[in-house]
Amino acid sequence: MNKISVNKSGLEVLLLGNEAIARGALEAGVRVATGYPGTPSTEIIEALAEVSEEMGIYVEWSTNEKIALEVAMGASMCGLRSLAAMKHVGLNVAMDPFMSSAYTGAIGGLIIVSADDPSCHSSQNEQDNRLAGLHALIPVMEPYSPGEAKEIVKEAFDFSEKHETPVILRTTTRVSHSRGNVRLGNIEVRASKGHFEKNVKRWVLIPSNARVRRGLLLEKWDDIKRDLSHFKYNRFEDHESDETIIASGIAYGYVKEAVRALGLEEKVNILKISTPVPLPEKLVGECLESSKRVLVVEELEPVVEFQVKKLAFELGLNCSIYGKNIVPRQGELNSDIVVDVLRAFFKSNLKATATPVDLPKKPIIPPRPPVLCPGCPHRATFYALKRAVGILKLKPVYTGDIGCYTLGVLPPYEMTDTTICMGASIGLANGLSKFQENPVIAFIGDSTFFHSGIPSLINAVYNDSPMLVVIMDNRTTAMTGHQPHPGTGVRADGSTTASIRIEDLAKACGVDYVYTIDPFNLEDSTNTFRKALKTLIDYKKPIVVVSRRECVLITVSRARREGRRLPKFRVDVDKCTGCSVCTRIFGCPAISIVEEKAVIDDTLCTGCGVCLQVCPYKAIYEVEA
Amino acid sequence: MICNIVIVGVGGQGVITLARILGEAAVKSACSVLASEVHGMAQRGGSVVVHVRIGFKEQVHAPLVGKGQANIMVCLEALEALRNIFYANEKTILIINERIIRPGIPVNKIPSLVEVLEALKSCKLTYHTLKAEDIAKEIGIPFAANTIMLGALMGLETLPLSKEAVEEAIATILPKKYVEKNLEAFERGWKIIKQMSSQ
Repeated sequence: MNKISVNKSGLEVLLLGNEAIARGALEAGVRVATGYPGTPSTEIIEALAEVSEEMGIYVEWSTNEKIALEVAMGASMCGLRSLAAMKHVGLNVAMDPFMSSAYTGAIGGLIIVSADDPSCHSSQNEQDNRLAGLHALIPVMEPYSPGEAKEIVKEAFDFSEKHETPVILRTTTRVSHSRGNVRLGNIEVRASKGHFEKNVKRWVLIPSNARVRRGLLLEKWDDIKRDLSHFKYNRFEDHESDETIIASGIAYGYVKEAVRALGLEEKVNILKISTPVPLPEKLVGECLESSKRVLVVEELEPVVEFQVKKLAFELGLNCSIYGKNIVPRQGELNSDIVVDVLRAFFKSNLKATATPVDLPKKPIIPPRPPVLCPGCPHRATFYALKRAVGILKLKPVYTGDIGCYTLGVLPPYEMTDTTICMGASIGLANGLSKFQENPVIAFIGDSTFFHSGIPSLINAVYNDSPMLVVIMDNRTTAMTGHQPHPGTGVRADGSTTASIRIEDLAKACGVDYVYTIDPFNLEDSTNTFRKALKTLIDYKKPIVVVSRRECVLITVSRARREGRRLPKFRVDVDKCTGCSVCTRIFGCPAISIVEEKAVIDDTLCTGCGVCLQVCPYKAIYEVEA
Repeated sequence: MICNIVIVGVGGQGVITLARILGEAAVKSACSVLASEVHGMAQRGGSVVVHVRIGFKEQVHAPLVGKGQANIMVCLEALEALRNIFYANEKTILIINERIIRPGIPVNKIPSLVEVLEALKSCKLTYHTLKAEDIAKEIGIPFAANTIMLGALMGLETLPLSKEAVEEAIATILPKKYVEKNLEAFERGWKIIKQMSSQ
């Protein structure tokens, strides 16, 4: 990570989009930052946590996004500038306070960062959270590059305080996870304690107050619309053409590139929109009046397009407006796609640029999906459970959750039948266990269990839903890059705190049968799973197995840091029969079969030693590291 | 002038670090740069593609390289070179690490390096190959194959960046104790390509 606290105003540096957002927050005098890890939002809080002590700001990983937003709202109520960061689906978890926050508004600037993921690079859907802004009546600002993201964060804080409203800063994967030039400004230091002014009519949303706040919100919305027409990063690039392209967020970048590629730079107007919700109506209206044909380019939903069409209708204009009729509604855009869109819009055969090389027909390239790392404890957990299930001849339904272990869906395990959202493994198991005959096994990670698994486990006890819940405790939030959580005893800033034991929680939820295993001990793990499954079948109660073993990436990096060597393993070629249990059934990516013998790749092997227990011919042995 | 570089490989090979060093060098050289990465689910042992676009006296507006738009492709793994070959056009220069990493899931047949290179030849592409892992092991820093490849990329001398700027970026970004060896790795990659291009 780049250190974002460098105090050299005017210096140009390379920052990741998320680091630029964090830097912008520092320059705006942010005092409180909260979030729950989720790709592509994670590095915002990570970057701020890293400098929290130095900058005297408060940064926390909250247990989930709802709490993250509530903490930030609390700080805003005290007059402090605060920021809550989450991925797009995280906002669904935070939706309850989010909707109300529009009614209560902000005192200290309140920014909600929603990092959206068009194309679902690392997500279960590609929802467009600009719509959440329209839904809640909270303005949305959308930068197109890391450099602009830093500046817009600062504007967003000012705007939030001016209009006493939360502001959504909406990014996408290609903004959050692009590195680009960022010019540093001054870091602002503000007071870290505020004051809560009691105001029942504002902060207490009982129906009588809520009705009043709703009216005020609608009035405020009109003010906001007017003000956004002067927003610095909304810009009309006028080339006195009859044709105008309106582009929102990163689509502006693709439009600029496509226009350049097609040699249309001086021939078409571009209206750059950085505030898609609400539309800056005065600015857009003026552009529409001077245009005969308009094209709206935006990723995902036609959020700007339908506001533009409504505005044109209200103004009685009859310019023709193109949008999702020629711009894809699914997946992220790129310059190629926008070149095609422009060709369709201009009904022209403007020359194509370089011709791509065709993929040769041979050889066929095997797919390479992401997989569990060599030495991943989840693999061992899946293996032991699969053995136990096989011995008992069961046909379980497996409900999965969000984390590295979602990869259990892939061969050779194929032990994930559902993945819906955070915490849904146990929630769905409540339904699936009641309405079909086979046993239900839910997989959930440690961080996900704290995030949203606990109420569902209580429900299983309360409503008597039989299930085996396997809590895969790898002592970290692994998928997003190793953030601490309430079970780790460490906070976002690295300080130590109480560690909450998952077994204690499960018992406190009312679960009578709670087991703990170390998945690297295959024999014991298999036996415990057998016992747990038999108990499930005999007693028809919720059962919990906590499979605890640290994420191997942490183990490896600690060993490297301390200069310790990892255990090393070799294959006895006389004993190895080439049976492929280690590669095809256990599925370790560090082992290959070469000329009918297993070979361990030392550059990939992390020394977990599970293969030694898996090999039916005892052909794998440890050597001096 | 904008130079489009596509770097491909397998999660864990240091693809993102390589792109970051290039980006850092670009900013230090007063260029406009956008480099796009993918994290999270897409990372673990899966295919990784990073786009780096460097603008010399011209602003880069978007982070992604279009089909057929790569000027250079740096391929840390050979199957990934072939998988992403649509980023290349006939003029694209490829630098390929002579390595095949088998996918983490069981697959029926893995093409050999010879088959992959034959296929690239049939596409009429210009490419240089090197055994980055072997060289890295020789130097005594087995996980620096990415730096060897970076040296090779710079040895082409087609980017608007000086060798020194990249060396400085290596020193800025990598942990101190690995800098010296990585600079050695960088130099080796640079020399290998120089020799190849002069032949």
